[in-house]
Amino acid sequence: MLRIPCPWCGPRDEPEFRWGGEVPLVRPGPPQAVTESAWAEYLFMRDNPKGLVRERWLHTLGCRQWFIVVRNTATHEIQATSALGDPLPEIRP
Amino acid sequence: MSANAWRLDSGGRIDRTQRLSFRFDGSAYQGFAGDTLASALLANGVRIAGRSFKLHRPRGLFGSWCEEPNTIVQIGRGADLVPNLKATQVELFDGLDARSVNCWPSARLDVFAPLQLLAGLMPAGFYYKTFMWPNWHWFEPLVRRAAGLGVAPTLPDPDRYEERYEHCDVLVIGGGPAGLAAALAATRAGARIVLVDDRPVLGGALQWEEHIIDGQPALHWVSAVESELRAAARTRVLQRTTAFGCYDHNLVALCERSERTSPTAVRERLWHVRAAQVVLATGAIERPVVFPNNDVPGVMLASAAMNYAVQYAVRPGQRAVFVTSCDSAYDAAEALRARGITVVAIVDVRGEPGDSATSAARAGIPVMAGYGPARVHGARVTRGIEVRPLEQGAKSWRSDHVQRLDCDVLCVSGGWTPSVHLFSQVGGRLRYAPERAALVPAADLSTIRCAGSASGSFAVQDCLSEGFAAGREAAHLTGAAAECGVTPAALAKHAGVAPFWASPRDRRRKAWVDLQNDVTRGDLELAVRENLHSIEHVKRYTTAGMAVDQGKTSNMNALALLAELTGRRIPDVGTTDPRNVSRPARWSVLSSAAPHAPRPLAHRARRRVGRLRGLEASRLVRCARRFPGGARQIREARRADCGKPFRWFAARQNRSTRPRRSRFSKPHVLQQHAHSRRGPSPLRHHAQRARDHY
Ligand SMILES: [Zn+2]
Repeated sequence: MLRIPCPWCGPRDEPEFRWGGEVPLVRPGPPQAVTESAWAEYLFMRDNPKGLVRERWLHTLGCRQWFIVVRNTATHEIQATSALGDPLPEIRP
Repeated sequence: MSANAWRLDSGGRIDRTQRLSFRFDGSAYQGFAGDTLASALLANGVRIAGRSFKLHRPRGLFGSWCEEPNTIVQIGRGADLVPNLKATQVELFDGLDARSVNCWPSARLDVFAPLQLLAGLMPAGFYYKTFMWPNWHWFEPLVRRAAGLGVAPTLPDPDRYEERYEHCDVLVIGGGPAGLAAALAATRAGARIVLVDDRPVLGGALQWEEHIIDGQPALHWVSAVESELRAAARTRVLQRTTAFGCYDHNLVALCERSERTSPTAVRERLWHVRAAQVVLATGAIERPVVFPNNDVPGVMLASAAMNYAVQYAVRPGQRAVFVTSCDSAYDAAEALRARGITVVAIVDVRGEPGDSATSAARAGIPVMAGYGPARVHGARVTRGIEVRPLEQGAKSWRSDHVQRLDCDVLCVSGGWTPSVHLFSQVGGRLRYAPERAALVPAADLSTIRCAGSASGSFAVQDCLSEGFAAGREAAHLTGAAAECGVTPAALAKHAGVAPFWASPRDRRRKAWVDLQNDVTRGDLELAVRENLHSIEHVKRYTTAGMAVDQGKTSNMNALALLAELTGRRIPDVGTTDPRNVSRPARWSVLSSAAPHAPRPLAHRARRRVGRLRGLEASRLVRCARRFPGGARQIREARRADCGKPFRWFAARQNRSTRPRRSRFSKPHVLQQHAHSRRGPSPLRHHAQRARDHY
């Protein structure tokens, strides 16, 4: 069970949160011009690297805010968190 | 046999004024307060206390605590029934009703015993082969009935269970010398600590090994430390508590068993401890040696024999032979001799055993240096052992001269294996240390450190100093920086060891690697012949290390033998990862959070474990972990890995180890599947691809 430092509430246990996927993820558009493979790429394909990744989390059972977490997928170390409006945190290898 | 005929007249940490009656397999016996079920059985002369899982061979007590592979019992009846307990861990109470499992009507007279004669029909992986030919469904009902350990209770559990949450600066797991020293240092530094120990009394091996610590007998030191810890306001000591899982961000799950003082008392308690720093002082488990007939009742670990004799005042036998490759067995031999047990000889596989052997010889114990065990005599009980001189390096026999030593207990010690299950669970890496003949933690993690035997320092003086340093450092990292005082020091003991896994091969006789799952050396050889070389494959194919003890005594030997069979070095073979919930925990306590929820118990228990594991259990992360290699992206990883053939059932009749292509290794099948279009929509094709990814 991870302990995730919410930028608004402080460190809380993982069951309070919901995972929201990798960022940045840009929705392609306009819809009429998007090819099927581009849609598929947007909908299904993720990098899922072994190592540091930036992802969105939602503090469902707390402040109900989305925020950004830099997490290591291999060790679960959480390197940084930042609120949504702030610039994306840098990945420090 | 009269009651307690095998009990020594004096000594031991049992209360001889308090007699307890208990039943085992229907017969009535007596023991004393302070006994475990195992020590009481041994005191009553019960030699055959269990039957093996596959072949129903008679088995006796082998270990003395969680490492015990043979004596699995179930206790109680009806709603109180508890299956899958190790007799060595059951504290004796008055009226205890225990039964051995996997045999009928009793362990001594088992009607399934003739299964041994069919051993040839059941080689490693025989049921996998029936999937292919002739037909698994013919065998399934039979195998399912013959296998299995114990019976699950059918009535609802009437007991109360609880869960609690706790936060602390330093969590110390293990109450032996290293753990006590760590807890002492962290307490003195002023940290908020929790000390966890799974035995009924603190001290670990100090309960039966004889040491001098800070100028006093070890047990005096233990009680002094215990009272200091209990007096400290910010220190919590949890006894009879097992840490069974170490999860992300230092979440440790503990299961605390209560002494059943009243029927309404809480029976077990689940603790979730979130610690800033964790010190793993989980100790080490002695390792047996693989040689022919090494499963006969009467063969036991040297540390177990010593434990029974010293802590419980039980004679493990009348005449003992020791087979060893390390120094700790000399202490055990000396302890047995001091209690009136004849030590026939110490058979040391090392050519030059060093100082321990000299002092043993001076004390009048014959030492046979450079000899190895050739076979055990006896079927239902050990009657003797044949020893033969070994070549330098212990890989082959030096001569045909066989010498028989008569004994009724054979104490083996092939060195020690650090208990690093929790450390591995959180991703700690191990390295092979040849000078210690063990896999030891390669490096501490940032918030988790190993100390004492768990880190491969087996001598008591190192346990104390490492434990104390680990406790102090952990406390300092959390900001508690008060003066810790002087490191406890012990009179130094030798802890030399030489790697020795197995005697030279004897093809006529079975040599057991995994006692609980009946895996022999021949099974490992068969697996290698059938071209299974990865330790993960061999483990699953032979089931070595897959029993309920998770291979506590067998994994290291299986690993070393596999390395030998495939001509690799031990570090190149790699290790298997221990599963989470490293000691059996009950569904009732795992689902304690919502005792009256409408879901079935098993479902709630599984969800609870899933919650503890959190993200680690999610498919996404498993993907990232499955593919090794730097920052390789999943797309490349899949492309690279899906091309690899699995060669599961390479033809057996051709007994070569050359890789062969069988009809089951069709890599293109997987790829075809991945690239085939199903239906008209290209989107569905992509969805299929995405599913293959995750
Ligand atoms: Zn929040």
